[in-house]
Parts: sequence; C-alpha cells; structure tokens
Amino acid sequence: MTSNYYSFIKEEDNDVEYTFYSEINDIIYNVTFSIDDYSLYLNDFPTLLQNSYSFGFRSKKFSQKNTKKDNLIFPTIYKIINDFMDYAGKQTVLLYHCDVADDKQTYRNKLFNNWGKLVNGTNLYKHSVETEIQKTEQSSKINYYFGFITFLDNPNIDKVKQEFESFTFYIIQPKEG
Amino acid sequence: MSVKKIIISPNNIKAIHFFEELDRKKTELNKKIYAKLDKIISAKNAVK
Repeated sequence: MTSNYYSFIKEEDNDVEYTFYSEINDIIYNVTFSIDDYSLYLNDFPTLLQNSYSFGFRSKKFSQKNTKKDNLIFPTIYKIINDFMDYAGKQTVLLYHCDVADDKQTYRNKLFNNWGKLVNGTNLYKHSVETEIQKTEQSSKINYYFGFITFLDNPNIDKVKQEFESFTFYIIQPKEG
Repeated sequence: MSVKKIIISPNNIKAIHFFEELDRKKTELNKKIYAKLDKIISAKNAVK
C-alpha cells in the first residue's frame, strides 16, 4: 500500500464528510459516513445497530477532461476510512450499498471489488452480497450490491459477520404488517 | 458458508420496500452532496 494520497478535508454535522480533489482528472470526491440509513432495520442485530454507519462516496467532474486511471483514489479513501475509524472506534462497521439511480450499480460494484482486492493488503475486511430484484412479473431485474467493511482486528468481527448473515435472511423473510 | 446472492421475488413487497427506502435515502443525500460539490466547482471556476 502506497503512503501517497490526496489531501482531504473533514467536516462534521449530523454526518461526517470528507472531500478531496483529484488533480489528474479534475474530479472532486466526497466520502460520507451517516448514522441512520440502516438503523430502522437493525433492531434485532445489536452489534450492527450499535456500531454501524452508512458509508458512501460520490464524485463530480470539474471539466470534460478524459478520465485516466488514478492510483491515488483508493489510498485516499483508505486513509479516510482509517481516519474515521480512529474517531469512531475499532468496532465500527461501515454498511454500504451501490447507488442504482443511474443504472451504474454494476460498474460501481466492479470498482468496489477492485478496491476489495487492494483491501486484501490492508487491515480492512470487506464483504458484499449481490441482490437481484424483479419488482413485478413484467419488469426487468435490478441488481443491488450491498455489504460491509470493518477492521480485521475489530473485537466483534465474528459477531458482525454472523449478524450480517442473519440480516440477509431477515431481508428475504416475508414480514407482518 | 456465506451468503453471496439474494434473489427477491416480486411478491416479497417488504424486501422490495427495504431496497426502495435505501434508494430514497441515498437520493436525498446525493442531492445535498451534489449541490455542495456544485458550489465548490462554481467557486473554483470563478477564481480561474
């Protein structure tokens, strides 16, 4: 893992946000850690409920410049995750799902998986699940990708894996009401 | 063994709602963040 990364700023409101700029591609990136995106669904999963944040990142291009491979993006996001985990604690779990609004979720998941390979050389653990949904008999299938990231030395890591697994079963169970 | 893929049937309304709700929250946050990034871009372009 390279120690080189982009400088970034950190802001705190209800969420914690980080922003950095890629000079190579003239792109600004924003990384967010929010508390309540999943909390409504986690009542039966105490470790996830107490320690999880929703993790997301977005980018916006400043200009129409062609995009080149930027080897500093992952190290910067890695640095940001570490900074956040230092603040929130080793037991922190980052839940994420890839945005489907523009239909680019498969691309996002691929990018995330490539980063997942880079994560193998770090102190992070990443797990993801693909979900295929057909909303009506007539509509086409939509793929969702969601998962979690945590520290390999999270003292609750086994409990987190177990609760996340149970959470996936919870999602597919028909519920009352 | 760990779960790798979930297939949601059209009649599992609750599961579909779960993902729709996640989308709604993400769209809301996206709106806020992109407005902020647009402001930064305008400010940067203004000083060029």
